[in-house]
This record gives sequence, C-alpha cells and structure tokens, in this order.
Amino acid sequence: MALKEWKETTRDRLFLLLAFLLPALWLVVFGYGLNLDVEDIPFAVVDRDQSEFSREYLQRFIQSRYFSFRGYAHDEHTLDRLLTETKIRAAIIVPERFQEQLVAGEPVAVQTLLDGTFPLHTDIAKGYVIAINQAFTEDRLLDFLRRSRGLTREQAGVLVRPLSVEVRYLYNEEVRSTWSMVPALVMFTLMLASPLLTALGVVREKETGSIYNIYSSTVSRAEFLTGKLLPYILISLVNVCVLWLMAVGLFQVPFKGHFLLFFFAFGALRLLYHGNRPADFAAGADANGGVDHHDGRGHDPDHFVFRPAGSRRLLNTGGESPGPSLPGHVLHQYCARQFSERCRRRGSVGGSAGAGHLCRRDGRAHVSPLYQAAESMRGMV
Amino acid sequence: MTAGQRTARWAKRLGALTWKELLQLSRDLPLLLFLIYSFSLSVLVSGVGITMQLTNAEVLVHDEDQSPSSRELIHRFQPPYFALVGTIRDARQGLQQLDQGRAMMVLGIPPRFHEALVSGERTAVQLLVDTTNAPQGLSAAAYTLRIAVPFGSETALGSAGLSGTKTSMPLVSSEHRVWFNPTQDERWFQSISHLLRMITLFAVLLPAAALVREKERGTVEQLLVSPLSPFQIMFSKVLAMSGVILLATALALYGVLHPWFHVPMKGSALLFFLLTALHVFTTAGFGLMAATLAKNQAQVAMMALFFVGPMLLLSGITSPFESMPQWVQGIMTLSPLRYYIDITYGVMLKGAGLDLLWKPVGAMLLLGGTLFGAGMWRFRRQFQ
Repeated sequence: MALKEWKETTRDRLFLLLAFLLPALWLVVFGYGLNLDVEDIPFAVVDRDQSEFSREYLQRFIQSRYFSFRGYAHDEHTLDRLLTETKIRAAIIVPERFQEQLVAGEPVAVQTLLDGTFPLHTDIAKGYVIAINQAFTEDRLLDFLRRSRGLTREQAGVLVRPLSVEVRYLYNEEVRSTWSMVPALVMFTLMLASPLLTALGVVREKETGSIYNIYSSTVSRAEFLTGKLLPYILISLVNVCVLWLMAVGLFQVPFKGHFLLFFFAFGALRLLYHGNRPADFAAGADANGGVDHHDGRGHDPDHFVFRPAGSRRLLNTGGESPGPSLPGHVLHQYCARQFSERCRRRGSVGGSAGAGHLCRRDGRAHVSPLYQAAESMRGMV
Repeated sequence: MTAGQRTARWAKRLGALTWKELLQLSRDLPLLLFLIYSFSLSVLVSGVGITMQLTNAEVLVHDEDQSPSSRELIHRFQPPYFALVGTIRDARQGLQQLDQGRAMMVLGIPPRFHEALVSGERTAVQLLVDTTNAPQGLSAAAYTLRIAVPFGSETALGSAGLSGTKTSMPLVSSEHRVWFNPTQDERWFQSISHLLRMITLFAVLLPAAALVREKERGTVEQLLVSPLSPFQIMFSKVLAMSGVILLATALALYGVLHPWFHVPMKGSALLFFLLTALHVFTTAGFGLMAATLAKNQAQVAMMALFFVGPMLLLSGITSPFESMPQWVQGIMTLSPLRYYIDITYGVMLKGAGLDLLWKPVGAMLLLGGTLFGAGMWRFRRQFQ
C-alpha cells in the first residue's frame, strides 16, 4: 500500500518538486524577508526656527538609524499630502523661537505627526521620538544647570539623570528576532506544508476514481490510512532535517536542547498532523455519500478547509475559538507544553524557555501568531 | 450581421458563460460556506483575537526600599501596558517565577533608592525581562526606561529645588498626533489586513480552481468547439468570481468592519470597490497563469501557495513595505497586493482619491494587463 502510494507520488514530478522545495523556500524567504524590527522610518521635517539648536536637534533624527530622512517640507499641507501618499510615515514640526525658549530655560513643545496605520510601528516610532527628545532635553538641562547654578558637569549630570535601568534579557540574550522567528517559521512552514501534502495525496485518490479499487479490495481501513500516510511522513521527516539544518546553519539559531528527543517529538507531532487530515477527510467522504465521486467535489473542501485550519491554529492558540481542527490544535498545545515543561525542569535559566506562559495569558496578551506556533521548538532553543 | 448585433451577441454569450460559472459555484456548497465564513466570522475573530502590542505584561516587583519614591515608581507601571501581579521577597523567587512563566518581567528596586535620589547620588533599578518574544521583550524594556528615567530626574531635580513647575526648565516635549488611526486601535489593522489577505487568496484560487476543474473533467474541449473564444471562456470565470468576491467584501465591510470595529471609510466607497475589482482581476491573472501550468488541482494548490504565501506575508501587510529589505522590495513590485494595500489604506483610512493614488493604480493596471495577456496566450496555445 505504501509502496503504491510512493510510486504514485514520484510519478507526479511537479508535486514532488514542490513538496521538497516549498518549506525550504518559505524558510529562506520569510526568514530573510519578514523583518519585524522597526528601522528606517521615512520622515520629513518642517523647521520653523532654522536656528543652530533646531538644526542640531534635527540632526539627531537625521543621523539616527531608526529614521530615514526624506527632506524638508514647507508647511503642514505638504506634510499632509506626503503622509497620505505614504511617502513618509512620520513628520517633525519644530516651532518658532525653539532656540530662544530653550536658552531662556523655558520648555518647548515639538509636534510629531505619526502614521497610525500600523499601530505597532506607531508605538515604537513614538518611543524613538520620545527617547531622542529625552536625550536632547538632558543635554540642554545639563547646560542650563551649569550656567545658572554653576555646577560642574558631573554634578549636573547626577541631577539630570540619576536613575539608570540595568536590563537583563533572559532566554534570548542577544535579543535577536531571528532567534525567536526562525524556530517559529520552521514550525509554521512544516505545519502548513505537511497536512497539505497529505490531503492532496489522499484526495487525488478520490479524483482519479481509483478509490473504488480500494473499496473493493481486501485492504482494511487502517492499512489504507497508514499506507497513505507513510510516504508523506517520510517526506516531512526529510524536510524537518533540511529545515533544521537551515535554521542552525544559515540563520545561526543556537540549539541548546537534546537533538534526538527533539527529532522524535517532532516526528510525533508530524504524525498527529498527518493523522488529522485523513480523519477530517474520512468524515467528509462518509458525509458526501457514494453517489457522485467524479465531480471532484470532495477535493475543494479539503484544499480550502486546510487553509483556515492551518492559519486558525496559529491565530487561536489561546483556545479562544476552536478552529475546524480542534483535536489537532489541542494536542499540539499539549505537546508543546509538555516539551517546555520537561525542558525547564531539566535546563537552567539560560537553556530553558518561557514558552508555556504564553498559553496561559489572557487573550489580550497574545502576540504575533508566529511566536505562538513556535512553542515546542523554543523549548529546545 | 451588423457590428452592433455582433457585439450584442458576444456580450450575451459572455453573460451566459458568467451565469454558468456562478451556478457551478453555487452548487459547491462547502466552498460557498467557506467563502462566507472567511469574509465574516474569520474577519471578526482576527480583529479580536490577536494583538502584537505590549498589553498586560505581568510585572513582579522586588522592592528592597519600601519608600515613598519606590512606591511612586511602582505606581507608574500602569495598564494597558503593564499589570502588576505581585511582589517578591528575594531574587531567586523572581527567576523562578519567570521560568515558570508566571510573569514577564521582574523589577528590582535597590535599598536606599529614595535616599540616593534626594541626596543627588546615582542609583539604578534592575529589570529582568523574558525575551523569548524578542520585540515584546524590547518593548517592555523600552517602556520601563521611558517611565523610570524621567521619574528619576523629576525626583532629583525636585528635591534640589529646581522644578517647582515644569515651566522653568528647558524641556523638549513632543506632542504626538497620530493620523489615520488616532486611537491606534489595533483591531482596525488586524481586521483590514485579514480582509486583504482573504480577498487576495480567493482571487487567486477561485478562478484557477474553476479552470482546472474543467480541465480535469474534460469539459474544456466542449467549450472550445463551441463558438466561444478563449477570451470569453477565461474572462467569464474571472468576472463571475470577481462578482462573488466583491459581494463577500461588502459583507465583510458592512457586516463586520463597520458595525463591530467602527472602521471608517474616509474616501469614496465606490472607488474602493472599483479598485478591489481591479485587484481581483490582477490577482486572478496570477491564478489563471498557475492553472494553465498545472494538470490537476493538487498542483494548482501547491503553486498557488508557492506564490501567494510569500506575497501575502511580504507585501507589506504585517509590517510596512519600506521596512522590508531591498531585495524583497524589488521582487514585490510584481505583487499586486503591495499596491492594493496602499490603495485600501489610502481610501479607507486616509481619504485619498485617484489624484493621490494614480501611481499604485497605474502599476496594478499594467501588472494585471500583462498577466492576463500572458495567461490568455498560454491558454490558447494549450488547446490549439
């Protein structure tokens, strides 16, 4: 049975090619392309003061790697147009008498316009602006205190900025977004690709009508299903190895866990996913009845339903709204949690991960779906 | 037969074909149901389900000072960003809690915190952050800095008698005005992005699936021996599916986005639907190209994923286009979605009209025309 399936699969060469290429390609494209760091924010400036101070102030933005300077504008109307055309995502308006007021020791207010279409980026951009303002303010305060109170630089410095924050980043010491992204991506690609492969293979049987041969043969249901699954599991396992190699070699993601255990657990998860699809499909086959199999109707629900199942698993890992494949989803959560628990008990602070807690947060605290998907892998990173 | 009569007959045939496509679609109940679901419930869920911003980050406090200053500082860690979940007695307990995932950060205030601040000495607070989720970890640290550092200078300067009111010091404060989404409501962003993704996905898959279905059943030959031109055959599919998708979009927009999330439509709704139709045509061109290359539906699905997957994620839906690396930006000039995103946000949130949007519209027209032409050419070749 498995042999027959294998032969059929290899005959469809385009299919085979895509089966191996797809996950690898996705990993590369998304790993390099999906960039969540907020940098090079295009911005424009209206400088109503044109003084030394204002120029120095604006230089800090122009030279910052977080901002990408696009030019001076004449007035707010131009800014309006630029923002709407999405040529810029931020704008700074320096008021008149900027220098005058600062020298006299008075506060000034600088207007910042931000494009709010991407709320996350808006927040982060706001943070950058505030940080640059803070730094500039501190410098001005220093000068002011030295002039008006006759303090030394050191004394003024203490008054202006006495409190520092020592931050220690745990579990991802260099805070590389690739470290959290790539494991998630591997999970993501495999999770989408494997059920798809299996589903397509199984339904192909239905389409060509050779399913009748199976019905009328002595092959039992269990044999049929296992036979069908085997080649695809093989393909998936190969893919797992390839992707793991890519993650560690190409993206330099550190792997701190036990490889064999990871491999087997992954294999088990794969099995669950593969097993999930035929279960759905079998249900569909029974429901459709035996009347007309040649209209290819059985195929569409599978290849469309697969998509929401995959994406829903990603989106709703808080168990908020069950997707069409709740069993697979629940099992995945369970395995992931088992993983991270086991690793945490075994590992140290540096080696273990805080993956499990993401499951337990309330809905509002959830983050990007990709991170959710990475729980079991992160348990090993 | 006059030219007028001929045109009328051509149009009538196209109409009949389109109607046939719609009928076939309506007989495919699972697909229809899925379509309706994707444009209604699915959009609703995406809006309320995910959030990428830092919300309710659990903070544990290790306060070794227990002074007015430390209490004031702790008090400044407020929702929606932070949620204070408890206090701990020693550092090890804090690490334990982080390991177990009960909290996201631990804030440690050293002894003599208050004394140091009022007597003009330097001091520091400690922050342990769980950065398994890198951006959130960084966000948390950034917000903490934003709260703690000004607090420090306020207290120090205040006790040195300097800031009676904030009007006597050279401070640069920024007044932020957020445009287009003033409340920074993330639900707008999530639901609109999801809608865009669904539109693109269906625009690719529906016509392609229809075409390949015919190939499989062998009814394409029947069509070709009839007096119908290949253009009419392909175009009727695209027309039918576009109509369906437009209806579904209207459902999503007026059934979910407006009533539930209060997403505005600042520009002209008519313009939006017209441009959506343009996007669907262009993307259908993609799908048709894929269909002409594939032999069965399995291959179509794979190919669609192959191209659509990256397109969906890299065209600037989840993060702005300009933040993608250069080479990605180069490839994505071929993606109709990239222009459609500009157009959608432009019309919906920014109230832009054709005067400002002519560039992306032009690009899409060009792209769509080319893809369609290429698909047509291949189609003709395959059956002649």
